[in-house]
Amino acid sequence: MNVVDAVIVGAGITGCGAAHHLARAGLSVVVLERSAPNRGASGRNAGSLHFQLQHQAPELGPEQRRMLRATVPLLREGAAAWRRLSEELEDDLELEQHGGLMIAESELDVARLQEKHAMEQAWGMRTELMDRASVRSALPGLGEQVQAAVFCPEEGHANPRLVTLALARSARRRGAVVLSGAVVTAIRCEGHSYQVRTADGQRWSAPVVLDAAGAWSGAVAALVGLSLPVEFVPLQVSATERTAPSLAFNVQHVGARLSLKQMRDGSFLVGGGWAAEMRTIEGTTPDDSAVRVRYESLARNVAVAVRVLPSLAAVRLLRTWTGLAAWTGDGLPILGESPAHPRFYVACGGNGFTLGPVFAEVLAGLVLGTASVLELSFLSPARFQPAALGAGSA
Amino acid sequence: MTELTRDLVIVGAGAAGIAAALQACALGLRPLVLETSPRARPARSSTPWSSSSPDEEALARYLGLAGSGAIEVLRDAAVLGDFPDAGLVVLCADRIHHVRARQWIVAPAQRSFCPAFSGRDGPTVVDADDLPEAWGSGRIGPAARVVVAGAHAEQLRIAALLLREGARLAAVACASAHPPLDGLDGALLPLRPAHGIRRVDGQRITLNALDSDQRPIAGTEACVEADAVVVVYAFQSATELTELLGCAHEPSPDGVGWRCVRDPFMRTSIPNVHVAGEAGQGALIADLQGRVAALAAARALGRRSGAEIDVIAAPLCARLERHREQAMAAIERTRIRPGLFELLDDDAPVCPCEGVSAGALRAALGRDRALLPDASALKLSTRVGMGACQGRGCEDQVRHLLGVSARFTRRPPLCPVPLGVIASDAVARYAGAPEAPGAPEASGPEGGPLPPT
Repeated sequence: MNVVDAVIVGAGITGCGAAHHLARAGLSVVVLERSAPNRGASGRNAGSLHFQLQHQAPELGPEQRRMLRATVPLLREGAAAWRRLSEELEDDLELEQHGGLMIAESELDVARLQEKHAMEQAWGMRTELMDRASVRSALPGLGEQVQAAVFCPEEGHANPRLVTLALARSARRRGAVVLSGAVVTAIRCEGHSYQVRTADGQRWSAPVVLDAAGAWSGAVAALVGLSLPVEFVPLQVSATERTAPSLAFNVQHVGARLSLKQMRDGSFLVGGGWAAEMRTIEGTTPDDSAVRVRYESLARNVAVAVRVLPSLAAVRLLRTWTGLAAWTGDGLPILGESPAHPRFYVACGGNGFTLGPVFAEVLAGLVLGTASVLELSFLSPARFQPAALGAGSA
Repeated sequence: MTELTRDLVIVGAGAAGIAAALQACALGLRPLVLETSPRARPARSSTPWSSSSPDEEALARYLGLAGSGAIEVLRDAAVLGDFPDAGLVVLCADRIHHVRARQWIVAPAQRSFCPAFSGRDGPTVVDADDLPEAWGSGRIGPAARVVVAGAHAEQLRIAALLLREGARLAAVACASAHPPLDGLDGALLPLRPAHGIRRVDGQRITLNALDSDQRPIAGTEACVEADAVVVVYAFQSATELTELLGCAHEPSPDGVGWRCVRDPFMRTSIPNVHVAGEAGQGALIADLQGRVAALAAARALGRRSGAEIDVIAAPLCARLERHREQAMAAIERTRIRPGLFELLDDDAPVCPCEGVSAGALRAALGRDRALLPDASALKLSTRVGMGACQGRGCEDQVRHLLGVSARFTRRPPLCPVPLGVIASDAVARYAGAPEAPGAPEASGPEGGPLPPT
């Protein structure tokens, strides 16, 4: 039996980020990872940092709008957490916060974009509505149909290949242990501590458990008896060959699924939440081997990208890959302590890569008992527990 | 966009693919052949530089049947991938074809393999695959001073051929201590048994003596001057397509790469997929395997009874068995042993596609070994194997550096394709259809924010 201050399940951006903060505070930490560090969505996503409202915001009902509005401070802190992280870490994360555009092509798109921008203004977000002339002068290569855009100066990207490893490296330098191939099979609460067992028979005891297992968070929470509506969402991303720098902003689309950016090495990443094909086998937990690239998603994703940035037509596609993201029942992050399991904390869902650094800060703050500027009780796992029905709107 | 749905599709038109097509025709089938030569030289005629090309008679018959339409041929066809929702996606003259078949025969291209060494990507180093072109273009010509380095039996055949054509051999460095001369006159060749290339600096080639495990022996470095270095270490079958199709693979017997597992009837672990051809084992085995695969496919299609097929297949299988035994014995003599991968200075380009050197990989492993348990983790952190070649050239080297079995996941597309070509196919194929059908989760069941992109 190994006794530590905290067991973290999942060596993704959130788990390794929390390990980095806790190890810096002097805690003994072990990170248990079912496959390898950065193997899940943290290392497979397209690296976007999204801090404006997503494109469906105008279509939300009043209750969903109220919840979304409550996440605005989390988005603001999320952007600041990236800046803090790049200062704290020795390694280069290829972090660029040079701004992001959400473009509109049709009249309908423009109306939606304007409504979204009005919501952002009402909620105190720093975004700017650009008309056709100003968006085209900011990015002359855009397709003819582009009519308008919302610009968010804090948006940008970091390199998903590098971030989680940099966090894990920092945590290890301060004594944290990161174990690959450590599949957690049991978590039992005994008195004031948790007994955590892995498939290979190792046992860990700690007063604190952090569930940062991404798409597998629900399965991990279930081990302790906490039921969370976390589903696996198979998504895919494409990368091109490297070309000379020509795209200085992240580009999203208000009426179509698109995230497009040029990385520091000159390659373009094309994504936007397009579904991959997942084979589910009854009674088993999915893993990445069950997911394959869906051609329709690839082709239509690329078609949107080429329409928005026509010069991409001549750039060659090198690789399309898949990953499993977490989808929570209401699309909002799950962040906080289990109502029935003291000091068992969960962080998953939402825009996992964008929010990973702030999730890590929040989790570390909860463990260390430091005061937070954020009011996050509405994101608590308690909102899904039967006893708390109605608590979300209280 | 074109949809092609056929009973039998043969991917590849080398010796195995052509034999399969001829056999299928003889059984009354009309196969579709995707000519996918990476050399963009469909239905290549035999060249003295390669012993794996189909023979002239088979090639002539194939071209005749293709001309008459008895065999359907798609030329310059590059397979981009196999997709659950779109079949085999093939790029052909800037257009996308979607190919579906009841039975498949994959007759993969073979490629030469050479371990990394310093200067491996320099202008004087010529792969066995590139030799016909290098000779034809005069890059290596008569009177050139040539070092031939390698392990495969083809090495000595190629060295003798170069000599006959007038090249001057500076050295023939064989990884094996007992190079298989197979009737060649060893006295004519400046043989250096148990030697490998340490580094190439322009015309200055450093050789290293090797021990019985082909590990370099310290202090044995010796320099040779030459205009070109021809490398003939091993040949690998392209396994990307059979990997994407989900077929089981096993380590290749010659010590590098992977081999698609097959039964005596060339059936893979995936029910309707057959594979034919064995890299580095010559045209005869490829021919026999192609014919057996076609027979098995015809039986699966119900074109012939099992008994009828067995009568035709039995003698072919027996011959195949005999030749395979001989080939395996030859492979055992020329197999690359793990020590060869230690001839690796820090500036050796392990992954030329992404510019990742042995030193960079050693540094990453030295710093982060605990965080990098396997080849995929090393790939993600250093980009090794992420290039257009899908890591097939560096996988073995990475395995050696890691000390654990290394396998990169192949990703579509199997060859680079302009985004505009894919976009046009999307417009033709999905125009008017609602966006992202079949992905309700990703759009948010409650209309909530999107999951991470």
